Amino acid sequence: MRFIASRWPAATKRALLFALIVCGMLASRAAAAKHPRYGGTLRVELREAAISLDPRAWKAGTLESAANEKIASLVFDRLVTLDNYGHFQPQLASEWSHDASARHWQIRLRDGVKFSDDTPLTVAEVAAALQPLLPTGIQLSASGNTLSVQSASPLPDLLELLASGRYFVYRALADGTLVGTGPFFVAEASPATADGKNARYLLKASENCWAGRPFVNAVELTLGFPALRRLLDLQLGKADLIEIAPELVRRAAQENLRVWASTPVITFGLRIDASPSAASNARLREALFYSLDRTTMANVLLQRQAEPAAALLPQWLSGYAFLFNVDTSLERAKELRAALPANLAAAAEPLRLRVDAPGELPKLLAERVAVNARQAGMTVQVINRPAQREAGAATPPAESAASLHLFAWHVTSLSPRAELDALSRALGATESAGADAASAEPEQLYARERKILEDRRVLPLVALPEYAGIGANVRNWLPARWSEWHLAEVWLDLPESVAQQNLNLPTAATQQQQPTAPAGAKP
Amino acid sequence: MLSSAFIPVSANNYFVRGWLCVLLFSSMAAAAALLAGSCAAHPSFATEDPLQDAIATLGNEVAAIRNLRGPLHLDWQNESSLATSQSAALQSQFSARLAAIRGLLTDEAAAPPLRVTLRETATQLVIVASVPAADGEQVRVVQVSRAAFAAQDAAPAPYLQKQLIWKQREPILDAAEHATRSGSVLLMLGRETLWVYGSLSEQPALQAVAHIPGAVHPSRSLAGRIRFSKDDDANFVLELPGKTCSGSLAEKIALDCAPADPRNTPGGKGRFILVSDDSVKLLAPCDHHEWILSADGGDWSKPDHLFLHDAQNAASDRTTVLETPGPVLALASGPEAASSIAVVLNLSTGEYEIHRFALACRN
Amino acid sequence: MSFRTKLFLVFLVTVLASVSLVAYGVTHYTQAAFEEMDAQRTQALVTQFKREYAQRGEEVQQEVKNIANADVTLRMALDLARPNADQSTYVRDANGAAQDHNLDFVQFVNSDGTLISSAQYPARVGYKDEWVTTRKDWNETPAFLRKEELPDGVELSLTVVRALPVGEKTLYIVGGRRVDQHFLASLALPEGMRALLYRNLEPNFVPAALTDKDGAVAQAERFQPLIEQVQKQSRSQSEPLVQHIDWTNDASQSETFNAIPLTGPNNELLGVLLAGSSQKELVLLTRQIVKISAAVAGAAILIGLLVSWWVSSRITRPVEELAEGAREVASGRWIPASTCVARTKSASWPPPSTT
Repeated sequence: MRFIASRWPAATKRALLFALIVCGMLASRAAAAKHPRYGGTLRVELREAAISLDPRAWKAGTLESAANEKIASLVFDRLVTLDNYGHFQPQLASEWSHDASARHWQIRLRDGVKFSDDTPLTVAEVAAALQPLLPTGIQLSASGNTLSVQSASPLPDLLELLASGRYFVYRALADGTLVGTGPFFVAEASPATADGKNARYLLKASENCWAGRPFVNAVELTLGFPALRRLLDLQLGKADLIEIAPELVRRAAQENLRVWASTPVITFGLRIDASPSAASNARLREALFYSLDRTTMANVLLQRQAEPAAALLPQWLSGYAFLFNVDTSLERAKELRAALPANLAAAAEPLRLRVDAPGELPKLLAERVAVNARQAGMTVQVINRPAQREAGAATPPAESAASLHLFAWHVTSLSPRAELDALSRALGATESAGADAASAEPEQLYARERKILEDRRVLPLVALPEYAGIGANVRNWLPARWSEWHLAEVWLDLPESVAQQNLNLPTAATQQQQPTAPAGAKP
Repeated sequence: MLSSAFIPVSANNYFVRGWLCVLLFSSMAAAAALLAGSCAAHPSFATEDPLQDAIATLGNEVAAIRNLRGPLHLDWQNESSLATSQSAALQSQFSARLAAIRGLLTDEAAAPPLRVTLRETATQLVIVASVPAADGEQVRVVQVSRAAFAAQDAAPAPYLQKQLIWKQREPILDAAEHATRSGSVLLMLGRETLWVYGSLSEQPALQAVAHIPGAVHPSRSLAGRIRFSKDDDANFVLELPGKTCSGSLAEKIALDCAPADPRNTPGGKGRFILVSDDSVKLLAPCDHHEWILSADGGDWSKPDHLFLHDAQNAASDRTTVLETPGPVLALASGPEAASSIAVVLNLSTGEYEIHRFALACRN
Repeated sequence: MSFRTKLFLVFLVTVLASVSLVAYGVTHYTQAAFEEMDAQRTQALVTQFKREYAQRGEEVQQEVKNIANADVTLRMALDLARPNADQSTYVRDANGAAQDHNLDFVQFVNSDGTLISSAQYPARVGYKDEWVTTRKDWNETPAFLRKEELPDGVELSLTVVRALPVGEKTLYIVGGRRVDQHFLASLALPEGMRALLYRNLEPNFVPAALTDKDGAVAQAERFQPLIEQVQKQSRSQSEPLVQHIDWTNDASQSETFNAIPLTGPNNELLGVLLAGSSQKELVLLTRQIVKISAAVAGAAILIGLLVSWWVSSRITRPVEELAEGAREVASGRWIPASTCVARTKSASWPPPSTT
């Protein structure tokens, strides 16, 4: 090689080099300010007054169950997750395959995963955790590092099933505590007290998490604050992440707070008992169906924070919800009502509508149903849940005779089939013998759902997203669109002094020297 | 004898040639194996396209519906993130399959619709066909895993490249970049003057100036239009409040003006209002996809925004692509399909600027 | 019957008559005075109620006016006056207005009668309240009584409507306060009086609709005749309607009720105020008077008996002696009995000297 004599004097070269180094340092410093930072405590406030971290005890579709899932995902892991682009991402499972009929699956477990108490994760434990949660007809067996799933009927949606709902992997300790492999462990748990103190949880970062230590040191969870209190806390900086009630979303937006909305995951609807009462008359149910003005409920009453729902499964889950119509026809409702005998159409005794969901919003919807029904000539009397009545108030005499129920259903599963199964069971919806209940084919699901809805015993009203308020210094807020929060990815952009303090992170050695707090989650 | 490459060089050329052949063949085999392996790992490179398979299945299912009565009008709605071109290809495939059934499909919009809707769920692309049949509406659904095909950005909007090509103090009502046999020219229309500049390099040269005869009708509007004849690229018409002038590109431009057509003055005497164009069609150079460029104009006290939206997807949202330094007074197509010209009043300087916007595709 | 006896009886009757007359007079005038006082008190109660009612109406008027004048209301009106305005933005605004201005009922109604927001019945948002758009002079209209429909029933409301015109459109603000037992509790009532309110929300008499300041009224069905009379009475008649109710056999437990009809803007009967005056005081007073009268009469009779006997004996004895003497002279006995009597009577009596 021939060296070409440089035209630049050495001093100039040194100066340039120095300048480059300085620029590089400055650039890196500037860039460092935008990189995720470790430290801090994420303060979260939820609506529910109590949570359970035992997936075995959850009731599918309830709002409580949805809150449980959010917190459980910090402590436990699933085998797979689904990203926002439709791809299944390996979690505790590293690989999976199935036979042509999708009845037999092989799932290979990730190596080197440990529970928060440092015990290694085994396939047997995965099978023991998941078997009681899976629907009947699905059998798990462990062999080496592989979990085998055997099903009597095809399971093309097994991954959807395992990536959602209560299918977390845990290990039960002798005292009943559950431990997980998640990014956090429960360090402190204080239940709510009779003197009004709210339930609190402190979840600390798991240093040895297989996916890497989370950015925040801890998640401080407070339960049961009223909606307005949570909003004020966010505004005042006393909370970093809150659940926002739908009726406060506009206010939050007007206050320039960061508000995130999921896809519609909560469906409110009416369920009509199969008891021999006035409501059991098919024509009356039809009249009630046509009298309901869902569009006004969603756009006016709920201030466009909801969508009118004509289907049980939301569009983003089933793909065919748009085929069901939300048309209101008051004239048709009046015609049907007029054709009924006077004693049947609640002329002497009103139809009783019991609000089975908590909160003011379901009550408002119930009252609107009553107003709509009255327009069509039907009398509906709203009865509130016992918890909603004032203390000491007398129990209404006819509560037990309520033939209409207003329910709230929170989507639990990413599998439309599993979701429809759970919904049908919970609502007692009758299905025709012809429908293939085990099929996950969208056409079959559409036929099943259509049959349920045509019976008019279940009348969807509106579908609502979940709303979250995010603090100004929360970064990497990357939730799944269907309301799963990924708090392990979140970091806090704290002031420099606080960040410096938080750099003294506990090492694995120091963590072991700390007093042994229960590493698991007591259900 | 050893070369610098440490390859033993033998006087036996056949041996060398054979060795080289083996080496070459091994390399090719290894490459082929690698390629085959990557093909297996990437379903998108599989020999079967799952989308096409799904559409074929759907087409067969629809064709198999009993008592199917045509003619039906195919109403194709892509409400997924599938690219427009991909959706169009699937639509063609579906139509071709049903075209095999004589008289089933028609182009008449008044015919009963055969609706095909593409939507997405969390994991699937769902394609739903609603078919009117003698015994009621029939629904057929197929789905494809979203992981099975490469996801594309929803209506991936290209971006606009902006270039300031002229500015002046005197008001500019409209500007037009026009291609002639001798090259491109830039026409600028003022209240009373028409300027023609040629050779849009760094220093455009003034080719001609023409005074617009006749009185200037009092108008608060800064609307004016330059329209070129489609038959003759030298002839043009100037539309101004209260008058219309015609002329021809030449070294010395003579303008012939007449009172404006009343149809162009809806405001009546004394109120000459010209409705300016507020959108132009642009063709993306990479896929020749049509986009509509529009401004949200109207308020001269604040800057405008330029929007792009998919010309073929009426339901698509507008994407804000650019903020201009002031209100957009005029927007016109450029000589190329991907470019346009805009007259903007810069609120900071008070000058009238002419910008060229060209559509460029993202990688 | 001897003269003495007759005289005695005359005296007795005179005493009795006098005492009775006095007792009656006292009782009568006392009763009249009491009734007059009772009427005055009732009138005072009615006047107080009307004043309280009017004052409450003025308070509601002021609060509704404050709502109408608020910036936030003006912004709402401006926004709603635009074409294609998003009415759902203001669905919850009535709640805040009701709380801020201490009203039980607040509604915002659009120019075409559509209910924009309701504090008391949010489920009705979107429906039309056409009664609001029928009048154009709301800003000059004082408070009026109205039936307010709620999710769980109907209440009486003292209501005010104010109109906020913006361009060609108008935003109506409807505010009100309940007229119920709490309103009755705010009345200062003298001892022995009470106020009841009957909410005439059904065509037939409903006992549960009658309340006092503490809530439901016992034996409410006893008021049915009075209420029905008020319901049948034409609004043009101004005669007061009164009912006397004996709750028990004890007359002191009875009450007299005056019924005051409460009407709405179309003169429809919406409620009845019953001003009740207890008869206990009067009855007790009457009893007291009677007792005292009886005691006085008894004493007077006794004294009268004695006095009349003594008086009669003083009067009648000389007369009797004179009559006896006359009878003896008539019978030929010249010795005056009186002399004999005198001799007999007194030894020291010296006969008159004859020498």
